[in-house]
Amino acid sequence: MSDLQSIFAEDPLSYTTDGGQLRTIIEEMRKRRGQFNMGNLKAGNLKPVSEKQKAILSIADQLDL
Amino acid sequence: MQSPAGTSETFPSSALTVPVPASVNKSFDIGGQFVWDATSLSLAQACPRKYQLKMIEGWQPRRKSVHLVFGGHYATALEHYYKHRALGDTLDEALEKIVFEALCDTWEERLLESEPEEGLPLPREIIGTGHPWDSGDAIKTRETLIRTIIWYVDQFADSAVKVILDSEGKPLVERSFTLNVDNDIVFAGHLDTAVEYASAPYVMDQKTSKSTISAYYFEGYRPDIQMSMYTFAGKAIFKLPVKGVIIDAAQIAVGFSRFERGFTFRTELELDEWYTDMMILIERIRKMTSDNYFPMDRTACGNYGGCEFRTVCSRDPAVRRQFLLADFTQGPTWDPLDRR
Repeated sequence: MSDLQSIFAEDPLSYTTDGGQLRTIIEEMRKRRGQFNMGNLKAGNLKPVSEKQKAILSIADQLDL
Repeated sequence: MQSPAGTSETFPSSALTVPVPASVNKSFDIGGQFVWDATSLSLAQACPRKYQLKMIEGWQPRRKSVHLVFGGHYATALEHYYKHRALGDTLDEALEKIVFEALCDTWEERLLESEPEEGLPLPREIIGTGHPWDSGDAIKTRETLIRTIIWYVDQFADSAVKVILDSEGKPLVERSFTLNVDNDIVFAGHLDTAVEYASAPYVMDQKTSKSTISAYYFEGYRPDIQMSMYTFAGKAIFKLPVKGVIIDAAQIAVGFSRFERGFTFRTELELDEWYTDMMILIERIRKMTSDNYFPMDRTACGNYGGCEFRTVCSRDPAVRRQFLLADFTQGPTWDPLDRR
């Protein structure tokens, strides 16, 4: 589960200032908005990545293009 | 409202009629509904039978529409954003408050420390229990709600829109209103925000949609009962020369939220015409209430994706109640005087 997904799965009343959960949500969403404005129409997709997608993404670093 | 006094030959009582005691719904008196808001006017205009089923008998879908829930949370968040900003918060301070509030409002079923007891304050909730709201929809979710709130604030951060303050310096935000009009009728409703834009006053409203927002989308708000009511009430309540409504529309998609701002204006003549039409509509509905018969408008069944009661009205009258009980629940009727 991504950091954002795990934050959403927590009771918001358990968030703390030190934990920075609220700040993380806002900053991550802002980052994704920037990506959307650059043309990535999927930037704001917050659905969990499937196991198959994770496996595909994990080989990205191994590709020598 | 009194129970219908039996049936008449000309207007047989509907088999579905359940009287609404005046003590339950404050917007009804002996002659029928006398307090009207945009929701009840729209129902009455769409189809008298739909009005009867929802307003008189209180039938509603078993699960509340995701569009209503999502839209309600979104509109509340942005109302509060504009209020916080008007009271001096920075953009980030206001944004953190509304995001936190939205996250809390969409967290459900926390356990209580003890069993509730009648007459006593509710026991405290146990933090860390419960679960996030599951909308049941693939697009309008809790996560996309938060995303849309944050992206909206950032998009319109430098907007030229300023919240209007009342004579006591309080922001004109979240104002419920009642307005006495002719024939002992009362208009009621809830104005989200009154703003100044390009030196003119407007009412502001927030909308969400899964479709692309285009000029055609905004054209759909003219004519429109809700927008005319906002303009009419805004002028009467705020005593401002409200020109119309600023509609901030958000398209909600899986991968993004995208916004467009549109305007819908109303001239004095348009408002006069709207007012006349509404008073005639109200009189017509009150007559139907008195006669205890509400005819169907069979041309409206397919509008807006299909009426929610189509599966009921398409059945033989003898079996409609079974279909109502299967797909709907009967609860408190919509009361325009209830604060939301």
